[in-house]
Parts: sequence; structure tokens; C-alpha cells
Amino acid sequence: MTDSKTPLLDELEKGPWPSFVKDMKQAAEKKPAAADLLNQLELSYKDRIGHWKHGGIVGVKGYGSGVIGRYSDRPDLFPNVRAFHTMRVNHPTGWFYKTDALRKLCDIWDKHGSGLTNLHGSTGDAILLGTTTDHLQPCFDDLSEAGFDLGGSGSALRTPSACVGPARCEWACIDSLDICYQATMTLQDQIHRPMFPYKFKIKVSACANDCVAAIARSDLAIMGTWKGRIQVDPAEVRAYADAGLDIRGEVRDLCPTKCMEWSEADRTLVIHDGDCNRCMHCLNVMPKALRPGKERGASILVGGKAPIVQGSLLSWVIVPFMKLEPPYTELFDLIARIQDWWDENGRSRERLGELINRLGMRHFLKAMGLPAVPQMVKHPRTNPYVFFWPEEIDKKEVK
Amino acid sequence: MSAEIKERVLAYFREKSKGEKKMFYIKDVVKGLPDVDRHAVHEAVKELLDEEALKYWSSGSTTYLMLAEYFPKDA
Repeated sequence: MTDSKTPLLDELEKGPWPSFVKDMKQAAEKKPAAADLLNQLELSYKDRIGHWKHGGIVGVKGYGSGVIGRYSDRPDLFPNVRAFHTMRVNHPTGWFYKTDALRKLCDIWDKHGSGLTNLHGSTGDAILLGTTTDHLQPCFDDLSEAGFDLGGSGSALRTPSACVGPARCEWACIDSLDICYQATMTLQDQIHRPMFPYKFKIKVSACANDCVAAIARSDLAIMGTWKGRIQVDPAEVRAYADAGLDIRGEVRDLCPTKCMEWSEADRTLVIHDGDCNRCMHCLNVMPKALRPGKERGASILVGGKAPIVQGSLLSWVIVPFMKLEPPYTELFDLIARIQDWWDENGRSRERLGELINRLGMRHFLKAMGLPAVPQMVKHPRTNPYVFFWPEEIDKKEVK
Repeated sequence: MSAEIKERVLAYFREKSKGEKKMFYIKDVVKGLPDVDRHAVHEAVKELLDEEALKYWSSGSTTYLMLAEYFPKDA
């Protein structure tokens, strides 16, 4: 027998892992809303049904996104979460905060909300959990004064996000931070004024290690890569071998395209760069010996999404290599054409990848003015799904 | 922005809102005005939102549009 009001939630505190219940209990000591949140969640576990009503209010003055309305369906029992709205705050690119910025953010949320946060949500925003309708505008005003803005929600461009890129990573082939920042600033209207068929996500990874999982999570993925030869330092390659690295087993044999040869006799590594698909495996294993090629840019991929409405999709390449330098005119022109085509042809709640699957990649490429290239395969080492237009086939050869 | 397009957008909402359904996708509105350029419809809707004749309603993942007079009072 226990005196606890939340015996079911208490179970989630057991075990070796940090528990959100513990955090909520700490917040409940200061905030009645957090206490009611705990109690409502306990009821949800008991009833095996959620007790939130979703949707409604969407923002502050001039904004159509950034706030997600949440209401309790049992305000009689839990009056302090009658309204418990979420605010999405556009995170700093690469999630770099100074401590005073974090303190300001927390102070503002202590003043206007439940004090509970989710840093960070899956899109990347700083998620502030739980405030009332009358606090939305004052909270936004305080956030603005502190230099923060709301992020995207609903049928809008969601807050672009990027890996830490050149700020901390030796693999960065592009300035993911600047590209993300410029995308955020250039596309402000699309973030704050939802006018799309559904959500649209842009993520930037500075190399193919793809630390923000852009390939799986974004409608438009910008992924750093290079052209030409991988830079090899033969002395460092030998040093890895001397240190006991099994270069044959751990590097050569795990290369997906088998594009390299390793000679045990003279301890030399030869890379046939023409066969390399720039997966980064060898570079990751021998960072001191191998570096990306000198001519750097990005591959542009489209169509990734998580499994809502239809199943999940991985992105696929539409531009194998784009030189990306400020002001990124070529990139933003392409984004505008993609979004316009999707907006014109997409059904309500149809993501870009689903639309391309429905109409066909060749329709998409024709509309974009992009040539079909071998990199556009649906799955590696299977048939390309880019087909010829009838008028492109020499009829004399078709019997 | 053509006042006529804005008036036609409003007329669309008034007509369609006579039934149970009060919330519409932006694409519904574009389809409802087939002779008007899609971008012009978007601009008209944005102005009507600024004027608070229309309001956004969002579930968090999807955004709808509705006449302000039908926006739920508890939302």
C-alpha cells in the first residue's frame, strides 16, 4: 500500500535510467500546473487514454505557427492545466547557447509557463511545455526581447536545423551553420505563416555522417560531400597499421563499393576514387590518415519523412553535387521551385516524398529542370526508377 | 491585392461554413477559386488573416483556416 497519488508514474522512476517523472515532481514543488500535469498523466495511465484536447490557438500576433494549443479534457479535476499550451522556440543553429542565453530562456519560462521544457524537440526547437492563453503574447514579447523567435509548426516550413558543422567538426565539407541560418532568415514568412499542403523540413548535415539524420527526417536534406580524390597521408596510414588497426578487415573489407586496395607487404592504401560513394566509413576509421577531397560542396536530397499518414521514406539524391557558397542563390532557387511544385501538385497532408512517389520522379525532375543522373536510384544497386519520356526514345530503335 | 479576390475568398468561407464543417485547408480554398492564381489566393488569405477576418486553427501538425466568427471560444 502506498500513500503516493501517482503509484503508476512512480513505477517509471525505478530502474537505472533518468525519468521524466522525477523532473515533473521537482517542477511540481514550485508550479501547480506541473502538479496537475502529473496527476492528469496518472489518470491517463489508469484510464489508458490521453486526457488532452489538441489544437486550436496557433500563435501570437502576426504568427500562424510556433504555439500548439493543448487543453485538458478534465479541467474539473485539473484546473491548473485547463490550458497547457506548448511554445516552440527557434533554437540557435547547431544548438550553441551561451549560458546567459539559457538562463534568460529558463527565467522567461519560469515567469510565464510551467517551468517544464523539452530541450530539444525532434525538429530541433527548444520546446517550452505548458502555459496559459493569456501568457502567450507576454511570453513571446519577453522571448523577442531576449533575442529568441518562435519556430515552425503546422503546415509550415519547420525550423531548419543543422549539425555543429565547421564549428566543432573536422569532417565538415560545408558551412552547415551558415546555410541553416541563412535558410531560417530567408524563409521567415514560410516558417511563421503556414500556407503549405503540410509540413516541410530542411536539415543540413555538413558531411555524409549526417549527424542530424537529415536523410531520414527532412523533406529537403543538404549533405556535405566532396569531388575528386580523398586526401591520403601515407605515413599516417602506416602509423594506424603499426598501432594494430586491421586495415584490411576494418577498412577495406567494410568499404561498401570495394573501392580500395590494401597491401600488407608495403603497407600502402590505394583508393580508386571513381568507385567511391563517399560514405565516410574509411575516413571515420582513420581520421588522421584520410580527409575529404579538396573540392567541397553538398548533395541535395529530397523526400525523407517519418511514418505519419503514410510510411516512412528515406531521402534520395536529386543533385549529386552543388557548390554551396554565400549567398546560396542556386540552393534557394531550387528550394523555391521544389516548394512551388509541391504546393501546386500536392494533396492536403501529402509530404513531398509521397507526392514524388505518386506522380513519379521523372515528373518531378522535368518540373525542376534537372537531368536524370545515375545517382538517382531508389535503392543502392537496384534498377533506377528514372525512365525515359516516350519522345526521348529514338523510334527507329524501338521495334 | 485585389479587393475582389479577398471578397471571393470570404464568400467561399461563408458558403462552405453553412454546414457542419468550419475548418478548411488552404488547398480547399485554392480549389474553390479555380480561375484565380494560387499565389494570389495565398496573398488574399494572408491579408484576411492580418485583418482577423480569418483565423488559423492548428492541431500542431496540420493547419486549417476558418472564419474568425467560428473560431472556438475556448481555444
